[in-house]
Amino acid sequence: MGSTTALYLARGGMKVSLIDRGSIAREASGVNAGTLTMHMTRADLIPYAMRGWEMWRDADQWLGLKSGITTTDGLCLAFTEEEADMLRQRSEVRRAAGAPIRIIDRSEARRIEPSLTEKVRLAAHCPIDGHVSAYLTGMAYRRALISDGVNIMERAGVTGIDDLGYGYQINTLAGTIQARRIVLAGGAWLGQMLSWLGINIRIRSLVNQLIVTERLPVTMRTVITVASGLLSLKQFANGTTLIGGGWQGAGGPERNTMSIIPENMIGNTRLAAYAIPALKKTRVVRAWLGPEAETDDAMPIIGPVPGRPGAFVIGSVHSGYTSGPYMGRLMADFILGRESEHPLFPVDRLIKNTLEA
Amino acid sequence: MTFHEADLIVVGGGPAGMAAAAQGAELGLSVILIDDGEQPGGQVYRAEATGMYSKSGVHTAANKTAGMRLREALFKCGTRVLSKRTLWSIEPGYTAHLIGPNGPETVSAPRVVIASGAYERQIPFPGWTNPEVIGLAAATILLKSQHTLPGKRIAIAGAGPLIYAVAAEAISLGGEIVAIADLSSRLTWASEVPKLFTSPRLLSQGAAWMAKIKASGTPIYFSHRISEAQYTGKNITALLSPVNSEGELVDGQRKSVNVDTICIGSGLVPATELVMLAGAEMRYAASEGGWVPVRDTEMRLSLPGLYAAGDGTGILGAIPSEIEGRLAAATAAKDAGISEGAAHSIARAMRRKLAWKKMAGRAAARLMAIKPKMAKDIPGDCIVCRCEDVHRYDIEAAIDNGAKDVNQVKAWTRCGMGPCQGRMCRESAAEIIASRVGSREAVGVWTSRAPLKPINVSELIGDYSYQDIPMPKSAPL
Ligand SMILES: Cc1cc2nc3c(=O)[nH]c(=O)nc-3n(C[C@H](O)[C@H](O)[C@H](O)COP(=O)(O)OP(=O)(O)OC[C@H]3O[C@@H](n4cnc5c(N)ncnc54)[C@H](O)[C@@H]3O)c2cc1C
Ligand SMILES: Cc1cc2nc3c(=O)[nH]c(=O)nc-3n(C[C@H](O)[C@H](O)[C@H](O)COP(=O)(O)OP(=O)(O)OC[C@H]3O[C@@H](n4cnc5c(N)ncnc54)[C@H](O)[C@@H]3O)c2cc1C
Repeated sequence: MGSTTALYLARGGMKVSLIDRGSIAREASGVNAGTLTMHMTRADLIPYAMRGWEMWRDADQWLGLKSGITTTDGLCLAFTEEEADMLRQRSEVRRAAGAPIRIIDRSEARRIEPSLTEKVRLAAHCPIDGHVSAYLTGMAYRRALISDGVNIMERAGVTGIDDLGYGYQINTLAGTIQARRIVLAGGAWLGQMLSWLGINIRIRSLVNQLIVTERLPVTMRTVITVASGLLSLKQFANGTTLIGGGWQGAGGPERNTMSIIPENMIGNTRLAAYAIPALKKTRVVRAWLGPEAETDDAMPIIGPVPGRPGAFVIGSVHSGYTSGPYMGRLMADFILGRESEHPLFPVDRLIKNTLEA
Repeated sequence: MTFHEADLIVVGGGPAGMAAAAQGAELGLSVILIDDGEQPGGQVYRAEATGMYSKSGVHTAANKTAGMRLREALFKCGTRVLSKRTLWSIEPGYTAHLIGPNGPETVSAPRVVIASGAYERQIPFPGWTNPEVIGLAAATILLKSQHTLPGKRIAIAGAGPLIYAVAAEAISLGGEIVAIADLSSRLTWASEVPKLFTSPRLLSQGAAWMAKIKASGTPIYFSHRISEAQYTGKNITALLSPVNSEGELVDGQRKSVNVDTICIGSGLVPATELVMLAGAEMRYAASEGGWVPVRDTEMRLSLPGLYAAGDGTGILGAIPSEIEGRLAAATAAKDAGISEGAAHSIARAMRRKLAWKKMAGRAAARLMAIKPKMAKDIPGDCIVCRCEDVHRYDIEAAIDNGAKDVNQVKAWTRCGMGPCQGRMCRESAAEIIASRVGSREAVGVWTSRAPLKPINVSELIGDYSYQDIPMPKSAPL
């Protein structure tokens, strides 16, 4: 999200430096499942996710990303009567929020996705799902940022920020830099960054698990999710499949502190193979974990930092890869003084909550 | 899921692991040994497949006795041996997760000796992905475990004693070795061989191999490597080209040989995936085989309760590996406060023995170490990562785009993401990147991830009903 914000600020005429403690797009944005899905997006974020989906679809135009993007149908499944109720209810809410989701029966679901288990009870269909190979994100952004004149400062971990009154001094391990404005986009480290500006709110770090399999001869063409949101499954063009759904690992958010919880790896794989039985014939090649920020109300924080003119924050967006590019553009538009199409998500609501508590 | 508990887990059933388990049990620890082979033995003491008997074998005799002795001691000492199990993940404390014929199993112990051995380094050349080209380790498995020749007309190329071991064994079984290409010069050998005197067994074994090879009239090309392998009709033609001491191709006469099989291996690389997954500190030491764990003199790693021994900690050879295994187990017993007196004196004796025996192992390791310009001549259109079809030019393009370390190149090219998990291309990719970005230290090492080896989904998940899925809380709407 920091990268898109930087890109659109530069395109809006600002002189921009993008600072990262490592390389850009190597944390959540480089290791996530890359599922573009309305079925997993929080209902209130659907309008943003739909815009994000369009941006990914057209990423060759604004980002120069040509490969690794697939737009396709998404199916959300229910296996029990309880889940079927949940699916009907959740799909209705998401539809009301603007997602073109409709309920379909087993036979239609299996027509759309022939590799689907016959044990499915009910399904919801959405024609605007898809996926992006997240590991390519950084390469595309780097090229775009450089060609639009953004100064990329990598391996420059920020250690603190001083408010100078007329701007900010950012202290990094690679030296200091001053700027009129600053955008905090630290992903799972957002809480720490806000505390540098005296804002203390609780942001926890989820540790999401992903599992990739060997190439599978059977072809799956849709993105598969489930009513509870605990599965995301799709096959890439090279035949490998990716199993996710927010099952958790231990530790985090630092990379070398995260570790797989084997029960969760087995559970997530069971759920995936329950939906697509052909997965039983493949092998798990690798599993990994990535950190994701979550506020107390599990909603984004995007907007100005209260009491700090010229300071802004963006992050903690559920399914934030889908909507990320749009959120970044929204942030840039706001900073550039342009009218925004959809409201932002000011952090103030969480600060008040903390005081009350 | 089956659950086992012990005082000590030993991972790997090679000489280091077998010796560690036996020593640990002897000192009074309850020990569980985990190995993915049919039977304990590891690389060098690989057990013969059941029902097989050796027809000849110049070099197996001494190894077979040593292997049998270790296996016997292992089975007598009361260690629980879990063969055919792969350890695929480990949690701090330590809980090891296994997969095998009984599905998933877990084993817990406060101490773990890692003795995971080594695998081969392959330096790509055009044609190296043809099915007629196999690794020396694969050839050894055929020869030792199945008594089968990998081919009829064979070319062997690479570095270190292994090429001669495979050649001698194949000749014994009636194979024709058309040529041996050795990356090292005759001079390098002459300077390292004297150090092998610390290991009379190695020396006599080596002498037997060389006698066999000489008697068969097999030509040996020192300072040569295969630069290309191309099909000519049903056969394959290998081009043997001269190299300098840095492993770089140089002008000079090349030699074409027509064969049906090529066996290659440019040295051994310590298998450190488990040590890295556990999070122990590493260092780079080219002369020891590459990235190796940081250890103290008693085999402790940087994390409490973790020890490592054998080739997985730097290339050593079988005999020093065994000594290291004993030392690691004695240290573990000492740290656990069990049989401290005995453990102490064993540890001391082993440390003394090791210093002497290591000389031969390190000499062999130097012969098999990566040479600074070994990857330089890999052509742009040559496949580096065979699982994912990544060419050298793909790697170069990622570097052009700003990739500065091996993990970034992996993300942008998929190099190393396939089922072999990068074991095949780890070295060549890292060398290519290091040659443009800086040192091997600077470009780092691929992050180790669970599962350490690919797992069949059906074995991992077993038979289950929907209720058996331990579902977490639903995501918020
Ligand atoms: C495993 C996983 C799977 C996911 N799957 C999906 C999915 O399928 N679909 C979907 O829509 N969303 C998914 N998400 C969510 C999505 O990836 C995130 O919402 C999104 O990428 C967050 O982007 P970000 O820019 O806020 O954070 P990040 O991409 O994490 O960026 C934060 C950056 O801040 C830098 N930083 C931190 N501290 C400092 C410091 N002190 N100084 C300088 N820089 C610093 C970091 O190095 C990092 O580059 C998934 C997340 C994970 C972890
Ligand atoms: C092809 C070949 C031929 C050789 N010939 C000779 C020779 O003739 N003489 C000589 O002195 N040396 C020889 N060596 C070197 C010798 O094999 C090693 O020095 C010695 O075997 C090292 O012993 P080790 O116990 O460290 O590892 P190994 O013998 O390699 O044993 C490691 C064991 O651990 C197992 N393992 C690793 N990871 C896991 C896991 N995650 N789960 C379960 N099991 C695991 C492996 O499968 C293997 O069985 C040869 C090596 C090779 C590759």
